[in-house]
Amino acid sequence: MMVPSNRMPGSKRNWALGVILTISSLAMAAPLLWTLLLSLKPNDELLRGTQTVFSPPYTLRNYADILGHSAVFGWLLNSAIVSLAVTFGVLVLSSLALWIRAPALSRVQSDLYHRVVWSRHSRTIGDHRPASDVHAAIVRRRLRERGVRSVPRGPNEATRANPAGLTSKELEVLQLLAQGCSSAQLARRLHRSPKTVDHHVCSLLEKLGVHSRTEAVAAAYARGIVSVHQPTPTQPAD
Amino acid sequence: MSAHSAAAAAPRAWSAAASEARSGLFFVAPYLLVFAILLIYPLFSGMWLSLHKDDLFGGSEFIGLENYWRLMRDAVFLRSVRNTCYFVLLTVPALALIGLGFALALNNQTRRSAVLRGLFFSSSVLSVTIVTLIWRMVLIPDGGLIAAFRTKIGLPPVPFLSDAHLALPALAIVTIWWCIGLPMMLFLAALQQVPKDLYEAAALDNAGRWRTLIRITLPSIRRTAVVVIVIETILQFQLFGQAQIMTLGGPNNASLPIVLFIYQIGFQRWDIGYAAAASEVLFCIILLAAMAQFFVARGRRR
Repeated sequence: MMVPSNRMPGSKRNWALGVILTISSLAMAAPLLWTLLLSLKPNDELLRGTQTVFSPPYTLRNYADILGHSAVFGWLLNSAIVSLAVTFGVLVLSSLALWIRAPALSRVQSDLYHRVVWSRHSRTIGDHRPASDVHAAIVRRRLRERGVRSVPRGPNEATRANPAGLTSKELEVLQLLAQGCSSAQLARRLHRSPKTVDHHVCSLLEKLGVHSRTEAVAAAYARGIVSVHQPTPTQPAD
Repeated sequence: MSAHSAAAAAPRAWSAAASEARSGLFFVAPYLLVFAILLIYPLFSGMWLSLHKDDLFGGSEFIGLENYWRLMRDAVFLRSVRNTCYFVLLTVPALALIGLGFALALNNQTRRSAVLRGLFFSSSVLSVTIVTLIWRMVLIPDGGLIAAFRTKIGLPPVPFLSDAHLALPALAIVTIWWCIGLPMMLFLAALQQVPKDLYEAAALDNAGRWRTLIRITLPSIRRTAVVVIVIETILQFQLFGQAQIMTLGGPNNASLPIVLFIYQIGFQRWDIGYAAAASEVLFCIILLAAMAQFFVARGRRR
């Protein structure tokens, strides 16, 4: 229902875009083509007017004259020497100036690497909890003993058992994503609104530390969260 | 123990930083040297020169700010400042908008887009002499491309380059044709940097093309837009070659830009001090324009 009504203005827009692009490429190319045509006409003919430019005969005499004029190659050599010297000088000076940044850059990168990789390891693999988690558990227990009710309990039992700290619902969504479901299909299968499904997708992307659904699926396969022969968690494809 | 080792480590870290700074200075020195000789020294010697009456043939006399007072009263100079500002207004917004349009239209992997990207960039590799030669043959009323078309449909040819009202717009069109490649490339590079997940999120929220453009694409490439506008402003304030070759500043100074004014004063009338003063004024104008854009862009983000 939605798709054809969406496609109509889209194709009209593409058509308009095509026209605009054609006109602008003509405007870009016209001066170049005009000059090319002029270069194919003998000079004495052009002095009388440019009416004959669009009709043959054309001649390569101008090009032959240029190539026969030996000084042209000397000029080309001049240009080549100047541009090579400039390129060389700029490269040497700039790369020397950049070199000073290299140790600093590599230090920052390795620092970042350690922080990101280690924090992610301790969060996703979950077999050795960082010390801070243990401390937090002790504090929580003591607070509860003193009658504080609203202490966050952390993830529930099922979630703790799941890889990468995913909730069971997120796991289900991830498995459906791996089968190539779109948001709309996910919503239909899970009997949730597309908005809710997107929330699940969002939080599982964050937990897996990836930026897109495709990456999430790849990460899921790589970590063995999803395997090729897994049965569909809810009803089969419609 | 740990306090002790920290105290011992501090001087070592400090000396390591110092030795790194020393070797760094060694690496940067050649660049700084060339920068100082080719940029800093001419900048200050130009300022010094602008305070003199000098003709490069020996006669040099300190006259303070007299050159600048002369400039403020010089109708030709004021005309050239007006011309240059008008030219910048004609070219820079057009370059930014057309460049952005091309980049948006051609930011995909189809073969058509690749060919058109090449075509739109092709003019940028030409030197100013060739560009002006090509466009002279398009614009001249006597057998040019536009004139040929107009006579074919029964209209009189238009003397673009010798009409006081059309000369600068004609130069602007030539310049846009010549310079459109760089803004397009900068915008294309910026568009490829926009994270894909933003578009994915927009698609999930059922955002249309227009809303995606306004809310995601444009805010994401705002910094590049500032860079493009600053670069193009600096470049277009320095208009010289097109005017020198196509109109010589004419007719009646209608297309005389500041740099051509400086060239004529300095290297044809040999009034070097006066030309240096005009250069300093141009330098200040460009600096102010670039900084104004920079601060406007930064202020808007806050």
